[in-house]
Amino acid sequence: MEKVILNYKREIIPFTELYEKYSMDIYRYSLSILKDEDDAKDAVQEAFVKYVENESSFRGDAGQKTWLLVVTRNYCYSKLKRAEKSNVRIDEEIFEGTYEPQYDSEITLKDALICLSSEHNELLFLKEYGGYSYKEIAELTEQSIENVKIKLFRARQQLREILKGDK
Amino acid sequence: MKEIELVISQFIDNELNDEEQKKLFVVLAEDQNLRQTLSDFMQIKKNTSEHYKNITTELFRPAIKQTGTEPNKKYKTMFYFSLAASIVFATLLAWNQNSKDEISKQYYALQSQFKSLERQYSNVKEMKTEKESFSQLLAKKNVRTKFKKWISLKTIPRLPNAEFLSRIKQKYEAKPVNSVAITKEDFIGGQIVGN
Repeated sequence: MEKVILNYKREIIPFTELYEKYSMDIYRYSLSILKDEDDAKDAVQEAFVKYVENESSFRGDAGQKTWLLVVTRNYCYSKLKRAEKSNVRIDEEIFEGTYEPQYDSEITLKDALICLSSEHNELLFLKEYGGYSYKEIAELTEQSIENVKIKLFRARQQLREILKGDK
Repeated sequence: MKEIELVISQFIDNELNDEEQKKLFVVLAEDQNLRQTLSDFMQIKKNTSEHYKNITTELFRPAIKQTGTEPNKKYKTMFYFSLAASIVFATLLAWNQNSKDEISKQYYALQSQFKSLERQYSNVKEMKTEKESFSQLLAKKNVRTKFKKWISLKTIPRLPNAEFLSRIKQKYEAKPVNSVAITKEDFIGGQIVGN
């Protein structure tokens, strides 16, 4: 994988200001991965607590926002892994009668996004909302630029199909 | 078809160079479906962005004591303060050292001056005391006489007076000295015979 050196801002801002500035972005990012509001809020708390714990050793090698995004990402994926493990034994009958997919109603973008995988959702968030380039996304998510390019295309394709009602 | 759609995806992400864009435009101009794909993708992009922007929630700030930034400020201030204090201290020390040198120089000069004056004084004092003691000594009558006598004995050779000489003459003339007369004959051939 090509090592990309990102040219982020090296300016270090105080915690209060940092929280005001980035907490909502971190929430949106974690929501794109976890797809659950409470879990996303937990992720925000976790990210900022970790930031405070490591603030003394933080030297601004990467931007504060990037650092927060990486911490949030690690937290979200480890949470998803734990959830995956604990959900293996859940009997599918529990959901009988409670979940009724409404095929007739119009599918909103929110529903379509929930249908996408966490990875695709994350990439769409970073590209469409974060405005990061392929290189930056590749560095942040630790994968190649080619992968980012293809996965983003697939996410869009999938989204289009869901919205059109093909899936 | 999918390859072109991948290129369209890159195009809406602004990741194509001019050459690639030109090629894509040529293909798009000929294909209605691809133009539709482009339109769909652009709509998705716009809507997704809007969707994320519209997500809001009530977030509670974690109850964290700020240990990071303010103590850092405090330490910085303390550091600069101690630096300034040490500079001032060093300056004072250096200045004090210089003034101390000057004072010590003056002190040693004065001390040597004092010693020389003390020496002079003691010499003068000694001389004075000697003179005084000498004059005191001379003030005593018998000493003065003795001294005068001594001086006279030392300096002026005295001739024996006539009376003294006549007395000596009388003494030695009255008692004739026993003497042995040795003649020439005593040494020639013969043996000296004592009496």
